[in-house]
Amino acid sequence: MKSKGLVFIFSIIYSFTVFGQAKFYASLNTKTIPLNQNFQLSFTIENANGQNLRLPNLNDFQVLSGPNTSQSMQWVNGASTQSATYSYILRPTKEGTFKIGKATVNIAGANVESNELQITVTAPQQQNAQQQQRRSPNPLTFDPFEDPFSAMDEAEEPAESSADLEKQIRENVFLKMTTSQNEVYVGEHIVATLKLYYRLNFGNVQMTKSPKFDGFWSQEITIPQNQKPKVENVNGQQYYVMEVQKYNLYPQRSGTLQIAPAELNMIVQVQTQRRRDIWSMFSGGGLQNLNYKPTSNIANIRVKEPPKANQPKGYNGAVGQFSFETKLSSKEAKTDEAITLTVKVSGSGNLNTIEIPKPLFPEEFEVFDPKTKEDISNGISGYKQYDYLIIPRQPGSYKIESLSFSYYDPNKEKYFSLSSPEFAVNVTGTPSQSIVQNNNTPTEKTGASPIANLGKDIRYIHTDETALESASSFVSSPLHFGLMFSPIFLFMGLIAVKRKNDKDAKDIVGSKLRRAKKMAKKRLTNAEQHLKANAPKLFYDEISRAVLGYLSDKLLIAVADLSKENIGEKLAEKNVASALIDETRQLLENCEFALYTNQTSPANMDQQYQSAIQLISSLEEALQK
Amino acid sequence: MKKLISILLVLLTAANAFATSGKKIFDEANNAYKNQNYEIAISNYEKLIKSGTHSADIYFNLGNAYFKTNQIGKAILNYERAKNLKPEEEDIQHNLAFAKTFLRDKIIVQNPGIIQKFKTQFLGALSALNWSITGVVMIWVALFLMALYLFASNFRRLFFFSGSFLFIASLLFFFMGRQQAAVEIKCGYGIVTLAKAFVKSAPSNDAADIFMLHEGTEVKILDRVDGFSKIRIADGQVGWTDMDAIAAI
Repeated sequence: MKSKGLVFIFSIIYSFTVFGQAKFYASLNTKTIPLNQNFQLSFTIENANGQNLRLPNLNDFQVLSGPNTSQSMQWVNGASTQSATYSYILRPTKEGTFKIGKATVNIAGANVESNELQITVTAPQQQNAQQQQRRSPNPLTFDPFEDPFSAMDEAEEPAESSADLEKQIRENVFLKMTTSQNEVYVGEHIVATLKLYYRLNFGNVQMTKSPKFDGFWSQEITIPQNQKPKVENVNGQQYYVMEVQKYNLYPQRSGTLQIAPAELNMIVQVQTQRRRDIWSMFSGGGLQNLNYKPTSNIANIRVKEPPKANQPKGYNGAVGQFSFETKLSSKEAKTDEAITLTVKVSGSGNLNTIEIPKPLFPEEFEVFDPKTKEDISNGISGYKQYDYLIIPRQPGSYKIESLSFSYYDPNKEKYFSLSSPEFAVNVTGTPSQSIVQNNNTPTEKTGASPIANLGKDIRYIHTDETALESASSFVSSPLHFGLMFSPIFLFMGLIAVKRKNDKDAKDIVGSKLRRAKKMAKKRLTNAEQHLKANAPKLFYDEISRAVLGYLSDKLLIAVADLSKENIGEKLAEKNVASALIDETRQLLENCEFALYTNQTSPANMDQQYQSAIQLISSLEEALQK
Repeated sequence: MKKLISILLVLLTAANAFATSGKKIFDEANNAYKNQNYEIAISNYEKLIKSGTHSADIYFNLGNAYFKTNQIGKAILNYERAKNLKPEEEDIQHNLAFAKTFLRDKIIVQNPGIIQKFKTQFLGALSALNWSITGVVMIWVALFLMALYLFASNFRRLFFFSGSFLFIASLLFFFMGRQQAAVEIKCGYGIVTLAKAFVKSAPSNDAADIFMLHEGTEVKILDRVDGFSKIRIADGQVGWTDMDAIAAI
């Protein structure tokens, strides 16, 4: 998160940064150079992206390595300088003063020229080798497995340093990647050859790094085992040349494609002047075996797209010269009798990567996967052929539509379209039983299924307005989750209900007691209403019923079984004080008396009501003990 | 109150305008397709999808338009998306199968292992929808049985065990449904949409090319690093390719 933020801030700063003016210049690391030493020539492009660097004529020098590219970015007071440097290590071949001409580079579509330079080459000079090595640490020639003893020798005898030996080897043995063409079309065939130039004896050659063909379809060409070395002249020197490896390349995309360098590991025999010890006298005197790892140059290949203009429909990337032919074994066939359609492309070009057009067959034909034949020599010329075995299942006359194949000819710079004739097939006989089912949608995930099983075109678009309703699926929708997990919560709710029920059920006596008081109060509220309405008869009736009902619930005896007599006994059994028992009896008697005598007064009734409440709460208190 | 009504009115007309403009774009796209102006049809269908209208029919039509302009990769991609929304639709299945006959990569599918085979067959026994609905029904029956267990006086043990069993089974069905849904919508799969895609051994432009894929080929996307997608094709080969070359279904 933090780094993202930083990147964001930097990108903002970057976008506000003012770039200086674009510049392109050449420079040398020295103005004078002894003949036996190397110097560096650099081309620097500032504040621009250069393309297509064209070097001046460097015939007076030997290019030891390059281009080595480096990029840098300087930032001073918010103005930044971005630069890319292409440097070459050169070695003079003769004494004198030489001019290095202008180099050109393409910046934003315009060609920009660099300055001219001059260098003076002086007579060869003896130099402390270690210094020399420190001054130009060339990564290409740095050897981590250098013989440690040779380093010791250096110290003793500076003139015969390992750097000198290295130099000697580098001059006499090098690798070069050459290509048959440097400007090609996508798909056009080129041959890349990795050559070893040498003027020394060597052995034990191994390829430690094979070249990388990024953006190419590559194929190795086998090289005869016992090739005779050729002699080639490079910068006035004769070299033996051996082909190490050869490749057929077919560029797959446009742009400038680079072949990354290859590296060999070999042992080189070097002539030395000194005779250090007695052993070297026996072993051939001044010959020394050294490990050496030559690297090839980076080869650049400019790949162009075939022109878009006039590109035929269905053009599939074929580049070269081709002929196209289709052949049907028979125009008359019987049902269930096989006929063959041959589609063949022959010629020269990127046959390896092109696709043979697929014919469309009538549905009534059963067609098997084509048999492929190819014979491509050297990866370029030959043919590719598809044989389709067809079995007509229904009688009738059918057509196999014409096919077309188009290619781009880079020599004539033109497209060519070839088409095959349309074939008419007359099928006689009885319809076959094993008709291929229609609408048999293929279930396999990949791979093509036979065309014959399906129609000839896609089905038409859906124009119904319902198409504008966004679809949603039930699976994993909120409704799905709700329906799926609500029962769990409902179940928890049920458990809670069940628990409460159980608790209540356990406390059955307690609940009856509670009910008793509640009932008594309710009875008494009825009585209270009668009191207010001044209905004495109903009032006394209600009072006695409330008290009896209350006692019935409390003592767990039915009302019918209660009498004034057994009430006393029962209450005594429950350890109720005799005063309270008397009070109860008194109240019930008072009620009876009032009912029979009709001697009532409001004041009396009120007193009776109050004493009933008093009695019930006292009883409640007593019975709860 | 007046203010509220006016706000509601504005919202309603906006929604209405959006709906009608959607309808207009849709009609335009259909007409363009009819008149074989496939590029215009494509841009209009894409506009609809960008505005949030995801329907099987629009993806289907877009797939058709791409097919007509020979962009098989994008056609297959959109048919797959349409199929995700309406798995049973026959036109979609037909056109997808037809477009697949134009695939240029033939990948020989490895024989899957026994466990893998059993898994796909077991999962595939029911559709995602059926797994899910069955799961929902089961959990409600389980709830009913558990309620009986709580409140009934007889067979309580039977109710408890059958209810628990159904509960566990329903969870299983629920997860199966989600698994199968991931399989059905090809979760984590992508389609090659460039004509050619180079598959490299590492997420870097310098890495060696291992193989090449053509448009329309289905790949499983395993990882994404620095603009590269790690992919696996049906025969088990794994490599890295430019992120832009693959579109997730």
